[in-house]
Amino acid sequence: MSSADDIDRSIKKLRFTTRAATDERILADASAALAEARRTSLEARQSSVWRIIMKSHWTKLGAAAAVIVAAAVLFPIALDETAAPAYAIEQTIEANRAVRAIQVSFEPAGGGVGEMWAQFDDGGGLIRLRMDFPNTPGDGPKVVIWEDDKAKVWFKRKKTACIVHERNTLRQMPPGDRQAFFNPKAAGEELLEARAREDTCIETTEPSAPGDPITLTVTKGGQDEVRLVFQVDPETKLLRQIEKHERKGDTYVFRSRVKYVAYNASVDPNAFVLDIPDDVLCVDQTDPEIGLAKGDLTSKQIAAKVAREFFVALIAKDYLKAGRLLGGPSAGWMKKTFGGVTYVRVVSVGEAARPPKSKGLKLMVTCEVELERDGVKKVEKYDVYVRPTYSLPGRWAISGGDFYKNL
Amino acid sequence: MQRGDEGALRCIYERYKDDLVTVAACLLADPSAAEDVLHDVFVDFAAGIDRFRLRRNLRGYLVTCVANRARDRLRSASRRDVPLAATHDTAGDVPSPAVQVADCEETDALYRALTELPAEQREAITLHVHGEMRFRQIAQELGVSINTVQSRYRYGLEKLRSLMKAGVSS
Repeated sequence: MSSADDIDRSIKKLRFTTRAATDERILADASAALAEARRTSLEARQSSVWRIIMKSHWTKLGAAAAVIVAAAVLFPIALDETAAPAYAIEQTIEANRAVRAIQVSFEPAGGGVGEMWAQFDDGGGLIRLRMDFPNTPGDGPKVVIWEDDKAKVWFKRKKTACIVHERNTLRQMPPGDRQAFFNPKAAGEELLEARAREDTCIETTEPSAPGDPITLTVTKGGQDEVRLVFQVDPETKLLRQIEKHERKGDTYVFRSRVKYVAYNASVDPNAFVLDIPDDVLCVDQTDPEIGLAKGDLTSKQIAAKVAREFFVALIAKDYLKAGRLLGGPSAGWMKKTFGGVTYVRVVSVGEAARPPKSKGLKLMVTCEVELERDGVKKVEKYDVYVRPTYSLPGRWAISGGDFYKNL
Repeated sequence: MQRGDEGALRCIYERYKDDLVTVAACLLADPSAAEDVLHDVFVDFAAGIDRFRLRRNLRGYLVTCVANRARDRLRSASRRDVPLAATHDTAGDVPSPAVQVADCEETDALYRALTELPAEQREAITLHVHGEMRFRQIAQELGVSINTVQSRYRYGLEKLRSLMKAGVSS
């Protein structure tokens, strides 16, 4: 074994395999994890605002930042035993008890600054929340307001707003972080678990000069190593800032920054009202009459029925019903959009089919409709896309199509 | 598999398990811990399938997962100042849970020599030979220069050779 090639070949001969019992255990556990992932995925599809928000890279970071913000408020609860003697994390815990409102700015790695305001009740539960996302490639600036189990999202560039049920915001948060946002107890439990795994290391640095913050560097191990650097105000013991870094090779790379702009500052109540201009299409998916109930029909049958009834409603100039079948636009917007055309009759409704290259639940129905425009009658062919609604289980509505053409 | 197909999961597991457990056993210098790493990688892979997006080949992705996990274990073991192998019964007359396939004197000696290498050299050799990763890929994963990886690999082979020679002559 004198050459590098020889030893190379010998190393290649080193082969290990697993025992049958191990294979069985791994496959059983992995199958259970796969089934759980599938179940969670299906549940997540039922809703909701976070799904909408998460569509954009920026908002992903923004939402993650928001999670970090609130988690940070709660974070010390789990860390009390690890504090350095001079600064006790209990002091921050105590200071946090008086927090009823926070104003925060967040700054992801890509640049720009978003803002968030949140108000909490005496028990630490979220009462209302507003997040302003800056201009982002793709879908531009957005505003999210959450209150009374409803979330309103305004996509400013798209001139579209969406209202959806959001009864269980916690479940829509990214796994791992979701419990930390609004539930201090859960946050504490998660961190205790992390510490039990011995994969979290905490270092505390006292301020070196008057006015400097106390710094807590929390390094979490595991597959995705994360380092959170907390800055605590030495006088109020409240958090000033948090930075998140992720491990890349031998170094930690900056991911996002969250700054606490104000604690317990009064917020204009109008800040929690979504004041959208008249020309914005507002889709209210909390209306229980949105779409049609699937009942015992097959997916193809309900898709065809929704498409047919949409055009029947337009023929009858029932814009309220047509709007509901279209997912929630108001009757006024529907009249403004479709009122210039007279729909005469439905000529044919084709069989629903999965659109080419589509992997989702969406079905396409091709319809032929006779309409009259400027005194001229003609038959138009439209592709109508129908799918289950996001927030009303068992109801199907139109999600798109080319019936806007030539309006 | 993203549709929850257990058959696909089983197929992937059967196809790559031996490659992956070999990589883990060499990285950790501990065949017993290798099975645990394989377990964790596959369970995490299945649990995160909804978010999974394949950017290169699946084998390469899984090898990287195994390497990351193994590195975590080594780091965590070093924090506890307890040699990883000491936490498992891998020596003596206790049979190793992961079975060495080419169980002959030479490969046995080679494995023992490999376990004596510094972890960084062992990592470079294992990822290149068993992981089939290019030096450039290894450098990217580890966040070090390609020269560093090549040096670790070269020094590792030299040391292996001398360890083997010493073993033969003794």
